Amino acid sequence: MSRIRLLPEIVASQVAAGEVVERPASVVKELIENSIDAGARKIDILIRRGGISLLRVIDDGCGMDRDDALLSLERHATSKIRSAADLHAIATLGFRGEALPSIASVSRFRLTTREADAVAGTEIIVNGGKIDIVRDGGEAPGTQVEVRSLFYNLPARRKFLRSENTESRNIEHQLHLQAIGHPEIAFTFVRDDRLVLQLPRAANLHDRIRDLHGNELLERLLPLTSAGLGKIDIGGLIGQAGVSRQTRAQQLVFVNGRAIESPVVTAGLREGYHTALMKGQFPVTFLFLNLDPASVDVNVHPAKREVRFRDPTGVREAVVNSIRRALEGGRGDWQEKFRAPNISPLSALPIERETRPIEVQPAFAQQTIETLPRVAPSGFEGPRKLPDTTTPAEERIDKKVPQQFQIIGVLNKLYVLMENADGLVLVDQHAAHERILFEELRRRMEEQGVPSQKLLLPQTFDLSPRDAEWVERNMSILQKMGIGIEGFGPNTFKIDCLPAFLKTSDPVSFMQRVVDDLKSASNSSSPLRLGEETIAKTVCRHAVKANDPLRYLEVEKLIQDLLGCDLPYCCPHGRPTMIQISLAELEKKFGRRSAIQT
Amino acid sequence: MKFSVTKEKLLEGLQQVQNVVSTRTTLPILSNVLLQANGNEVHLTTTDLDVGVRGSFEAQVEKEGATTLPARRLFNIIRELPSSEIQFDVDGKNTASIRSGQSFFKILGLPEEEFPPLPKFEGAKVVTIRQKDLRDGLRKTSYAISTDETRYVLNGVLFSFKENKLTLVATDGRRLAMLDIELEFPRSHEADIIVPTKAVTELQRLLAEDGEVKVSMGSGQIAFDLNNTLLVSKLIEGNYPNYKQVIPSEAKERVTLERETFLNSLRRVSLLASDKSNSIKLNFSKNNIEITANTPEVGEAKESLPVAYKGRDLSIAFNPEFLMAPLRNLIEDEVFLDLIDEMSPGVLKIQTPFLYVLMPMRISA
Repeated sequence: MSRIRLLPEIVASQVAAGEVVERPASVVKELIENSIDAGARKIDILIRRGGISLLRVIDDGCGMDRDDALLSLERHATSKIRSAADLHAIATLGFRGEALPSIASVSRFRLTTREADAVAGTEIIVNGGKIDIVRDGGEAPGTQVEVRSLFYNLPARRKFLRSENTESRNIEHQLHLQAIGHPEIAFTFVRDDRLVLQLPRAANLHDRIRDLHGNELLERLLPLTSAGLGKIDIGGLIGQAGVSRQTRAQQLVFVNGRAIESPVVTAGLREGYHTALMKGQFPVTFLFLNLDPASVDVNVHPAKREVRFRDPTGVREAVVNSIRRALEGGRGDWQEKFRAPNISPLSALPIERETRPIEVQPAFAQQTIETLPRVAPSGFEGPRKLPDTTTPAEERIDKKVPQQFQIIGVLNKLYVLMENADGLVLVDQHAAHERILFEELRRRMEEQGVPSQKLLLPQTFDLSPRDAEWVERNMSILQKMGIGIEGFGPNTFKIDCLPAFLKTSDPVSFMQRVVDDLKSASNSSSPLRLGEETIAKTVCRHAVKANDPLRYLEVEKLIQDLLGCDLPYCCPHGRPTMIQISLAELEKKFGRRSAIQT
Repeated sequence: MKFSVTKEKLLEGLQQVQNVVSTRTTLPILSNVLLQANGNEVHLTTTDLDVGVRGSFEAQVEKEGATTLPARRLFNIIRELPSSEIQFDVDGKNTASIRSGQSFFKILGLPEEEFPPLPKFEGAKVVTIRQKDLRDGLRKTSYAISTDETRYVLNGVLFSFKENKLTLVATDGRRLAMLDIELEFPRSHEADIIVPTKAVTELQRLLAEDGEVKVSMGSGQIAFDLNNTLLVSKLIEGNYPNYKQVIPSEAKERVTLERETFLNSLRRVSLLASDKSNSIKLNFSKNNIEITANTPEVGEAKESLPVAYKGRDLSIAFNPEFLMAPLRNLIEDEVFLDLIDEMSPGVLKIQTPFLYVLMPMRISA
């Protein structure tokens, strides 16, 4: 008897469903993508009990005639590609022709559709993959898909579903992704008969983000522009330095309108932010990459969650560059408004902790009273003038920074309190000074070049072929960083020089670390990248500490210098240098306002 | 246990052993010093399990016995005692009563049995060295020990007993110091061992101008017996790098320098090589060395040193710290600096068998 048999069609669909339809959210994703590919301008989603009992997606897209509707339920039937050649340049979201039959095979499924100019529509009812009823129906133009009792015939899969709440949240997240990816489409989301989300058609991404996340987040986003590097077009919005989350949940990346996860892009993001992000935090991004469809392969993952780039290095570089530019460009803006980073709804706790011991350091208070009238007769009113100094560095700062802050005092010999248009700003004097010294020292060392110390014994070491290739290509960068390295046979290198600030006596393991570290970094790294840790350590020792009482003039200079920094928002270790407590938050705390309107 | 002793003798004894005591340890007994009263002596022992020191002082022992007491605390108390006569009385529960003049202290100790014993050296190879020679040798080499812990074999001084001489070597991969001591020992005692930094530091403190030190080499351990004090240490396991191959076989140019003068000039000029990674440059021309350093946005320094130099013009950059370290630790009036070219090692020598190889720096623009 033959052991190998062809699987019945339904079983094959269910196997495919295992890949494509993982949970209700993946059904929503497939259906919304179909609607988008059908040119919908409005998509309504309705779910009940986490989408397990009912899930309905209604669009006003092009619809299908009866033959097409029936065909769409066959496996590998699609309107989106025709030949293998199309696979290389996929412009639509879907293309596998698997979603509908897969979903239909694991649920009680109902499809109604009508083309705009057709007299009557079609209604098809499928149960567990078997077409039960096909009949005429009268409905609005477009397509409506209703999925009931998901996985009713696959109890094993059903057991893997989480609670209804979790599944609802997953669906909502999926919806957010799609809504961000397609601001031109209106979305409504009804959950258990309650209208959760109503997004009108938005003119641009900006408006869509405002509708979804409110003004508060929007104000702290920076626009991204393409670095003008060839074929990769980058757009969207990213969080300012200091705006970060504990998880990757708000790190959204779209490639040609498709929400994806890509290690390449993630690495680019991390490198682009570099010290602007605290360790272990993730950026908030709405990053849109538009590439020639032929240079991206989406046919990697059945749910198309991952993509492959033909030129990953190019993509990463483009991401890094545009993020860097956006962050640096955002600096002026930031200074102008003097908005602090982490305005992210400060939880009640830290605020209480920071504000409770309100006692202005006596020494400082005295100093303020004594010196203020003499040094700056304008007192606390109006913009403060710089003391009479005209070194070029300060001129530069002076021009860029309208003095929209007033120093109130120093709290606990550590936090400089300032007032700006939005409320209260707290500056950590140690972190601020660290940042200033860090940039100063790094600049100085960059100008000087990295001194490099020859080793007594040159050492040879082997690398894996991939790492070796990388080293070959980046030899000149390594040289600039003060590492004397040259080829010494296939995949073998000789190292005879190390940056002078390094103490390591094991160049080989050091090089392995460098290769790992820099490979994920960018090719345009500063030659001092390897020294940043050392520099940060050095300046930490020299910076003013907590409990160092600062006189008024010192505080003023500190703030001015901080504003002149390239990345003033955080110290070299990534901790924030300043925190803003907005007037709105204060009003809320004092019960003057019930909640911040978003 | 009961004894009386003078403050000076007790302090001296404690000073010899207390450095080894670990300040941070999870094992409380390691912060204690072991006191053992026998005959007319009290022995003191401390250890951090890697290095151990045993010393003694004379005392009038009324009742023999042993206990352990917190070393640092004991030392601080003894130092402050008002009178020079001290009575020590330890009861069966390891509680020590210390009386001196009008003062009385009671300190709680731990039982003697908990104290880890020092290793035994039976059947070990023994070599005798003059204390002065070893002290000098360590002083002239130990500053080059690597402080980076990624290559632990470099965290100590190599003692190489070969062909009737003891060669001491220390290096951190950028510079290397080496010195020979003539010595008589049987061929069977030839060995290469690495003594860890902590033991080297302690040894330098204990070694005196006169007398001899008996070195016993066991497996993985070494003991230095300095008559009344014993230092034992674990050895660093592993192979020391082949230091001979870094010593240049030739020298193109040689310049004779007055050590003090050269060191003082370097010290002054290096004030403007402020950041640690900065270099100092030596420009050699006929009968002159110009030493320069500069730090952008800070300033620069320059100093000329007349020397007998007849070679070609040459500029070479060094880490000032690396160049000054041997000069500080040598005692000779005259040193020789051998050079080949800008990118080859410089070698510092003196009349006796010593050399210091130093790699130059390269300033990439």
